[in-house]
Amino acid sequence: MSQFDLTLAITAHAETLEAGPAMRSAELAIAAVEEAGFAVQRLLGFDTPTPQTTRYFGQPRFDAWERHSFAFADQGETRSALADIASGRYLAFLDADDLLSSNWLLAAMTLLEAQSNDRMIAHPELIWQFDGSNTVYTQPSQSSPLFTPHHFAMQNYYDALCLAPRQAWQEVRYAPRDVQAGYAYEDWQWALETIEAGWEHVSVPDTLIFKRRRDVSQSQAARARRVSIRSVAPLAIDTIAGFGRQER
Amino acid sequence: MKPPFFKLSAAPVSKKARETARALTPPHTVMPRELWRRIEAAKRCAKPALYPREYGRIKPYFDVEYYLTRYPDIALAWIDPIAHYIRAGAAEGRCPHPSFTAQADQAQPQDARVTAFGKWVQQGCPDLPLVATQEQCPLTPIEGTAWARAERLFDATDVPHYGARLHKHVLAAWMNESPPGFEEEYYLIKPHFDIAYYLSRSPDLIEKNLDPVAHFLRAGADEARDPQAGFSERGFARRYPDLVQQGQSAFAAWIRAGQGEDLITSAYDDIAELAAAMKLVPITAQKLHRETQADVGQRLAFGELGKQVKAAAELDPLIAQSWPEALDLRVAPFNSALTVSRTIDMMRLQERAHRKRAKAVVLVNRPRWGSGRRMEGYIAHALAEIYGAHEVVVMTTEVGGDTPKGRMPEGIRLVDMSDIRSAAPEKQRLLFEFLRSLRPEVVFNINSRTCWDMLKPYGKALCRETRVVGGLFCAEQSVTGFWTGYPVHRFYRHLGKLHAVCTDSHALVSELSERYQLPPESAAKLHVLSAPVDASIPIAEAPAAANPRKKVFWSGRFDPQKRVDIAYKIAEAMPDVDFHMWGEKFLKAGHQGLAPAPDNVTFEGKYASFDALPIETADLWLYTSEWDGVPSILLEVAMTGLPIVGAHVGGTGEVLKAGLSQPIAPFDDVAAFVAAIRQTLAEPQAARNQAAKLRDALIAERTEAAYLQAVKVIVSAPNGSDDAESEREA
Repeated sequence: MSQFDLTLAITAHAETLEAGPAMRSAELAIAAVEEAGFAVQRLLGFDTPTPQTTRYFGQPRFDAWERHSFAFADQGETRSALADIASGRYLAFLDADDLLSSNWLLAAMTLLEAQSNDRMIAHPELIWQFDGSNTVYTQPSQSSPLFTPHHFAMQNYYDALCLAPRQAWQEVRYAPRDVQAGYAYEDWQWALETIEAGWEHVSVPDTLIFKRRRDVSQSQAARARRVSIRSVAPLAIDTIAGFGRQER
Repeated sequence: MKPPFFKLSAAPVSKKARETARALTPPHTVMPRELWRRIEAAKRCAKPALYPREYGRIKPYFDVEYYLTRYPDIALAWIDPIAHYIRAGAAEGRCPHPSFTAQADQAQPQDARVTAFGKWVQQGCPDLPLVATQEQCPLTPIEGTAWARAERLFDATDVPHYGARLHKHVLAAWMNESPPGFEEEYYLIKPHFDIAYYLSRSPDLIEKNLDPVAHFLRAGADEARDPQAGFSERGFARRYPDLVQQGQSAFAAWIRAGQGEDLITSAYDDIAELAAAMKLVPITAQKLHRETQADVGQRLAFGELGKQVKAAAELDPLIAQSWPEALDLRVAPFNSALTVSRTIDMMRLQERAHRKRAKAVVLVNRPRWGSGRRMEGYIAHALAEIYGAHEVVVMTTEVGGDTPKGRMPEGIRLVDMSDIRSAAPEKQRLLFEFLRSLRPEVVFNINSRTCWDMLKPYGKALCRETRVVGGLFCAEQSVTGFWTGYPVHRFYRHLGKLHAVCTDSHALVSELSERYQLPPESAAKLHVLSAPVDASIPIAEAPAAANPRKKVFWSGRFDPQKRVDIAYKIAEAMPDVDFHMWGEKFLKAGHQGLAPAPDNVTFEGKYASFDALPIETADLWLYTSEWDGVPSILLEVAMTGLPIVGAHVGGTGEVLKAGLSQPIAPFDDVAAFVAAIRQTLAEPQAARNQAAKLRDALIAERTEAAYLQAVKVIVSAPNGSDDAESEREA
C-alpha cells in the first residue's frame, strides 16, 4: 500500500524563472490536498535539462521535491518514466512553466474518489493560455453533449495536464514523439488511446490549468511542421461515430 | 441634490424591495449587477396611491429594464419607474417600451389620468413606424455625467473578478446616453449589448473613451465586431437577410424578432452539421453553446473560477492578460470557424464514402474529358477485380463533375472533395486524415494536385501506414516553353516515401531512370501500366475508293501540346484533302497566335464517345503532338484498322510501331507528315493491311489480364516506402 495518495510530477527541460510561479502554484494546490488529509509525493522530472534549469531547480527551496533526470528529449516519454517512479495512488502532471489553480488537485481527487468507476481521468474545466498567446477554452466531459468524436478526430479535447489513477499511465504509455516521421501531439494520442483502453475523461468544475504559451511552443512547432498523431484504430470511418461517447 | 422630478414622482423604491433585490443572485446578464438589482427592486414596487388605474393599465407592458437602461437617472434615484413615467416621464416624452415611439405629450400634465403609453396600450399596442435615420451614428464619448453616475452606481461587492478598472468603464458606458437622433436603435440593443465583451475586444475604445454602443452602430456592425459572445453580426445577416433592414444592425433585427430561440446567431455556417455530429438539432446545439458560455462566464466573473484566476494572477500577472479571451470563451467543439469547418468537412467526406472503409483509393484531379477509361479507369477496374467494387473509392480533388460513363466500374464509391473550399493546407490535412480513416491498403494518385501537395507535410506518416502509388504521365511545357509537371517536380522528392510509381509508358520510365540515375532498388519501384486496348472496337470499313476528296481525321485538345498549328500547316500543304478536327476548342495562354484554319479544315466539336465518330468515312488518322505519353485516342484508332500518321514523341512510339504505321520524327517535320500522308492515301490497301497488323499486335500486347496482373504486382508487394521498410527492419 502506497504511503502517498497523490503524486504531483512536474516536468522541466529549459525552464528557469518562469518555473517560479509554477512551483508556487503547485505548492498552494498541494497544501489544499494535504489539509484535506491526503499525502502528496512531489516529483521533479528533468528531460535533457539545460545547466541553467538544473541550477535553478537545485535551489534548497525545492528540496522537498524528488529530482530525477532523463535524456529522452521527449516530454511524453519523460511522463511515462515519472509514472513508473511515482508511488501515489493518483498521479497528476504539471509542466514547469504552467500553473495550477489552487483547487485543482483536491477537486479532481474528490471527484474521482466519489465515482464508482475507477477508470476515470480528470481534467480541469478550463485551459487558460497566457503569455505568448491568449486563449481560454473548455474541456468537456465525454458524457457531455458537447463531446463528439468527429471533433476529437480533428482536434484534441484534452490536455496532458490531468489527474488520474497512476495505472492510467502504466496501461497506456505515451507514444514517442517523432516529428521527423510526421508524428507529434502525444497528449492527443494519449487521450484517444486511453479512451480506446476503456478510460473515461471527465471535467472538474471550477478548476483551471494556466498554460504558458511560449513564443514558439512544441505544439506551435508541430503545427508549423504540419505533423499529426499516429493512426488510432477507432477513428476509422466506420467506427468513429460511436467512439468515446458516454451515456448521458 | 435630488433631481427636480423627484417630488413629482413621490414614489421611491421601497427599502424592502431594495433589500429583496440585494439578496437575489443575479443571473448571467450583460448588465452590471448594480443596475440589475435596481431593476429588480423597481419591479417589486407596490402600486402607488396616486393614479392606481393608469399604473395597473400600463404595468404589464412597461419595460422596466428598458426604461432604467435608457434613463439611468431614474435608476440612480431609486424611483419607481412606472410612477415616474405617469407623473413626469410622459410629459417629458420619455419612452417606456422599445416598440413605443414616444413623443413628448405636453397635453398630458402631471395629473393626467391616461398617459400616451396608456393610450397605446388601450389600442392594443399597435405597430408603430420605426424611426430609421439615414444619418450615420456619430462616435460619441462617454460623458462626464455618465462617469459621475457610474461612481454613484458602483458597488465594490459587485465587481467582477476581471477587475474594477474595466468594470467602472462598463458602468460608465451603461450610464452614458444615446447620441441624439439614434435613441431608438441605441436603446433597443443596449440592454442586450455585452459592453465588457465589446470593450475587451476593442481596447482602443477604452483609450479613446468612446461609447461602445454608439461605436457599434457607427462602425462595429459593419466591421463584424460582435455585440456579444455567440452572436455573429455577419452570420445572422447572411442567414436572415429578410429580417435585417437596410441601414440597421443584424443585432437590432434579432432583438426585434424577439431573440427567438429558433434563430441561429452562430458565426458558423456549418452549425447544422456540427449539431448533427453532436446528435442534436441546430437550435439545441446553439443553446448549449450559448448556455455554456453564459454559465462559465458567470462563474468566471463572479464565481469560484474567477476567484481562482484572480489568485493565479497574483502568482503571475501575465495570467490576467487573457481575461479578454475568457470573455469570448471557446467552447469545444465550437472553438473556432476553422475547427468547425475542419470537423464538418471530414464528416462530409466520410458521408460521401458511405461511412465504410475502402481497401483501395484512386485520386484524380478531375473527371477528365474524353472517351476511354484512362489510367484512373483502368486502375479502378483492376482494383475492383482484386478487392471488389465496393472496396474501391475514387476521389476527385480539384474539379468536380460527372465522370464519363463507363470509365469507372459499377459499384465503386465516388467521393468528390472539389467543393471543399478551405485553404490549401487545411485541404491537404483533410485529405490525409480522410484517407487514413478509410484504412486503405493502397492509394493511387493519378494527377491529384492536392494529394501531391499533401505528400510533402504528411507523406511520411501516410506512406508508412498504407501503400501510396504515384501515377505519372509525361512532363509538360509551360507557356514559356520550360519543362514542368509532376515528373519534373514531384518524382525525385517523393519516390523514397512512395510504395511505387506507375506510368503509362516505358518512355517515361526510361527518361526518369536516366535523369535521376536510379539505383536498382529505386528503379524497381517504377511500373509501366500499359493501357489495354478495346478489341471489341470493330475494324472500320474503308471508304469508297472513288471518293474524289480524301478525308483525314484529327482529334485532341486544342492546346500547345497537340500542335494544332502543325495540323493546319499539313492541311494547308494538302488543299486536295479534307481535314476534320474534333476536340475541345480552347487555347491556353501563350498559344493565342494560332492562324485561322485553312479552308479544307472542318471543326467538328467534341464527340460524346469514340464510337460516335464516322470512322468509316475516314481515309487516315493524323496525330500531331510535341510531347506525349501513350494517348488513349491512338489506341482506339488503332483498333479500327484506320492507317495512322503521327508524331513520334514520348510514348507514342509504343503504339505507332514502325512498319505498321507512319511515326514521324521530329514532331514538326511538316514535309515528312505530308509525304507520309500522301503515300498512305496513294496506297490505301497496303496501309490498311499494315493497320490491321498493328491492331493484332496491340491486342496481343495490351490485354486487361496483363494490366490486372501488373496492378496485382503493385498492390501485393510489401509496402515499398523507405519508412515502412525501415520500420519493418527495426
